[in-house]
Amino acid sequence: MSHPTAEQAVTLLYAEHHGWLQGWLQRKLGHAADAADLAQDTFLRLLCAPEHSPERQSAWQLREARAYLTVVAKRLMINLYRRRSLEAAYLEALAGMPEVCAPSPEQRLLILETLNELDALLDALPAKVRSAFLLAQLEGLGYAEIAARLAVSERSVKRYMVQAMAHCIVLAP
Amino acid sequence: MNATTTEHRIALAAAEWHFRLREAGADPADHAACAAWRAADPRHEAAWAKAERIAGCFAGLPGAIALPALDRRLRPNARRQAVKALAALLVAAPAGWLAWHSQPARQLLAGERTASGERRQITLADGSRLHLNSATAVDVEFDEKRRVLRLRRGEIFIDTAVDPRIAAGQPARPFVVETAEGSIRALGTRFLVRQDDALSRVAVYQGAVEIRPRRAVDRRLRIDAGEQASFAADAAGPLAAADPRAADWRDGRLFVREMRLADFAAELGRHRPGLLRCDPAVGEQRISGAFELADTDAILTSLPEALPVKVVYRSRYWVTLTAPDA
Repeated sequence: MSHPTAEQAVTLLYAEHHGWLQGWLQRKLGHAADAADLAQDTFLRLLCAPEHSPERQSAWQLREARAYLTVVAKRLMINLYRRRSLEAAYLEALAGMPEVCAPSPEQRLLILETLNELDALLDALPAKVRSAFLLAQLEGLGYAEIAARLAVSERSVKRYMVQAMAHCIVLAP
Repeated sequence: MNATTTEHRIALAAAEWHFRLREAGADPADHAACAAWRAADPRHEAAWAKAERIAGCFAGLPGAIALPALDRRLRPNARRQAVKALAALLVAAPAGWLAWHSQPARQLLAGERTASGERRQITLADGSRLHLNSATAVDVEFDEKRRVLRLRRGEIFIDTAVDPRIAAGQPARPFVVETAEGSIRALGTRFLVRQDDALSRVAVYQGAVEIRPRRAVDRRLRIDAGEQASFAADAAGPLAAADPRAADWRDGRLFVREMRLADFAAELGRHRPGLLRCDPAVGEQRISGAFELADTDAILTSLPEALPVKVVYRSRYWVTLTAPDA
């Protein structure tokens, strides 16, 4: 018997595990709508996996399907909450601006999308490294000023800048 | 981050070059070495391009919304600072947010910047001292031949030092400040340069400078100590006596004598994020005094005590001076 195609394999996984995954998420999150969305997104993520990924190469013959699915779902969950907290902070910042200076609705969406991409790139960085990088890139502060604000040495700030940028370079598409 | 894989090592190198070339002390040797590194391997070039793109993403963002959004662990007052800075920047921009990708974007990328209400002093690589006034953006571009400051926005005070290269037997490099309207060449001095709308203002306190308007290079004008002048891109204005108080901002003070309230509002507005408007009905009143710039709110609060004006706050950063209620 020939291997099922990737789509067929994912469909099989869906049939066997979607219900279980949604229930697991609902217990974890206590939120039915989010659980449903995340469950769907998990299988979508499998369908969209890049060609060369080992799971896809083996036509989704997973030894521990549920363990794998929960790992994917957890990653999506973290992403969802990260994005939500970003949106909340963004809206709060917008609300604090004088009306005459605020960007238009179309621009707001564009800004949010850029912010989201950057936020995902910076997510794994330690707090001070991230802050230093953002203060330099967004506020144009010099290293001395950043060092004073973060209570670190200027040499550390220089290191943080390089570390943050290198991190982004590796992660950026 | 461990540089264990080649990919990580290349990324680190690209990041190091990215910041090295942006430092004030970067010289042509550095640029050449970077170019060689980039050319050595297509992966180097790709990493370099990514760094530029990432920096570009930030440059396109309004800093004061982006900062509190991306750096969500900021303390509340720091977040407010971030919002303040944006309000000022957008006020300066001509046509709404779309202007971000022109002048203001270049201002965001400028080497040295101050936010609204911030003043700073730095020492340059040749020992010269550079003071930045509020809401200022200036690039420091020292190379083999010249020491150049590119004033993109705001106001700076310069105290030039003798080029240390003289000690090594090399010729002194000219010290030049470039503005939108032209260039100002220092002839060993202390002087003030201010970038206004389509006009640059220069006052000299020691030594002399020579102004060259961008589109009328033959219309040079020498300004000596105790003198000041403005110039546009195609003409240099008449010489006038230098206002000795014009550089008081370096000590955090604004000194005015019999200044029109409308002009005072414009001047004070430079040191304050947001908008400070003055109703024409009260604009002709004269105000005198020495004001501490560290607390512009206090200055506004004190105005009705000195003059028949009312200070109207539409929001914390949108203030209008109007006639008092009848």
